[in-house]
Amino acid sequence: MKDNMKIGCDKVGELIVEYIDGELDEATAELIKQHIEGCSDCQKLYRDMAMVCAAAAESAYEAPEELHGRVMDAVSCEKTASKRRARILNMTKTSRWLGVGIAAMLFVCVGIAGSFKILPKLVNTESNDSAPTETYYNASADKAISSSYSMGDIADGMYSENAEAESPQVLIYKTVKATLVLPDEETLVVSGEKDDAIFPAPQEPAGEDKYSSADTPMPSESATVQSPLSLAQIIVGSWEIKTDSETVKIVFSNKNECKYTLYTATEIITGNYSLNDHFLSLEVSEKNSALYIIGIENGVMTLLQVSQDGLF
Amino acid sequence: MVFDNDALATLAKEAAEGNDDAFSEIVRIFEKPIYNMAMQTLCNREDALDLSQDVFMKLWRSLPSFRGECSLTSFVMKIAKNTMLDNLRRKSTRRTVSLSTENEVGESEEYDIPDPSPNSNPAEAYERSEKIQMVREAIAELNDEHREVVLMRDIQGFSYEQIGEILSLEAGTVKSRLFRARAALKKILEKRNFF
Repeated sequence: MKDNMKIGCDKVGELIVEYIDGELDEATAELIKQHIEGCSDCQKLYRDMAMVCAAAAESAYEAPEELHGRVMDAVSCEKTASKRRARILNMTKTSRWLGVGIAAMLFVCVGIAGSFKILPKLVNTESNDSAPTETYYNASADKAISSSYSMGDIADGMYSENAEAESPQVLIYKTVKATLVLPDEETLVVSGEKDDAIFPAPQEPAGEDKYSSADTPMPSESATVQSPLSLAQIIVGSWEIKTDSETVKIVFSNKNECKYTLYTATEIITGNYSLNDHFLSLEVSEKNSALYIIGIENGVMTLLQVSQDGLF
Repeated sequence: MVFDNDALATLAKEAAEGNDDAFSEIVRIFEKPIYNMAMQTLCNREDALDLSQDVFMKLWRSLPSFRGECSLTSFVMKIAKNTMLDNLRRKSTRRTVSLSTENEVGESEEYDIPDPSPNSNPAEAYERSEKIQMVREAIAELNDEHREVVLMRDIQGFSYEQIGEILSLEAGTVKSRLFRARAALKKILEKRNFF
């Protein structure tokens, strides 16, 4: 380093980055410049560092043009989904869906009945593999909650309308909770008023709101629709179910076929489903279905498994 | 990448109120730095696109909570950083560029090396693209601290002040870190006979 230089090589090395970036004040920059002009070592340092900076800047990727479009499309979709979610959640806060209430009542009933005579049976059932072949569901309990509800016959043998005079007897094999996965534009397209194109109105009895696949017997009477969206429409979409061992996804189709698809870690199961007021029936095989009492509240679906075989 | 903080704050407010044009403008402003961060994290165009989109969606959802305590730039970059860290945690893969991963490198080259100008000869264009790739790989080899500041300054174009704000560092620390980072980058490039 020459004596007449007012700044040393060490200082140049320290400031070279700012010098290249134009971040130094004029006076300091001039000192650096003078030093560099007279010092071959610092000249090389400057050249190399400038080249590194330039190369780094040049190595920047240009954002693909499609990124902007994708983001804006996603924003648009999410806005739509948010509105829908707000509508669904708002609606499910009402007493429109009585399933959860029914579930709560059933648990109470089980507790009461179990205290006297059902509990030994339940304990016995859970303690060995031989599940009971006959269980009863007290229609009067349901009627107490929803006077317009009466039993259909989808639950073959699972409950008895004649049980009104008896103590409530219900066997819940399993409780499953599922969370609605939003947004999911692929599967959740229900967006407002009840749409018979999504769930065609049943052939009979005319004028009533029933949602079922063609094969499923319809109930003799259904709950009064008090909301623009039906349970059948709310259920459409993608639900995430956390079981003891894994998280599975079940998608209820929005097509006329009323298909469900269950995605587990190892397999994909498909089948028909049907809804009958508070009951959800998931076809397991051509002959067997898993039957659940269904309740949906605040985007959480509670399934009480009342058939011996279940899907989850 | 120096923008007026007040103008950005206004855009953020409008976007938070549902103005899509304002949010569109924000995306335009930050798409390059975000995408570059994503590319440096994932080294794959499609994954980087997805991750960038993820960042912008998180930003969109978070804008209503933006109160202007920091600059929008800082706000965006913090979301980007957290999103990318989450992504890395999920994948449990620490991002490194390997020359042997031909697919990754190949995809990057295929899509992201700028086209040579029509007047440059093919040999020069090839050499240039090779050098750009070499620099990208060298940047990826830097430690996290150094890579962060090099990306912010040289690739994303943030000012020292903005870098300090984003990383919560004093200006002096930014300068010294950037100096050490560039020196480290130079060393790596020297080993690869870049100069």
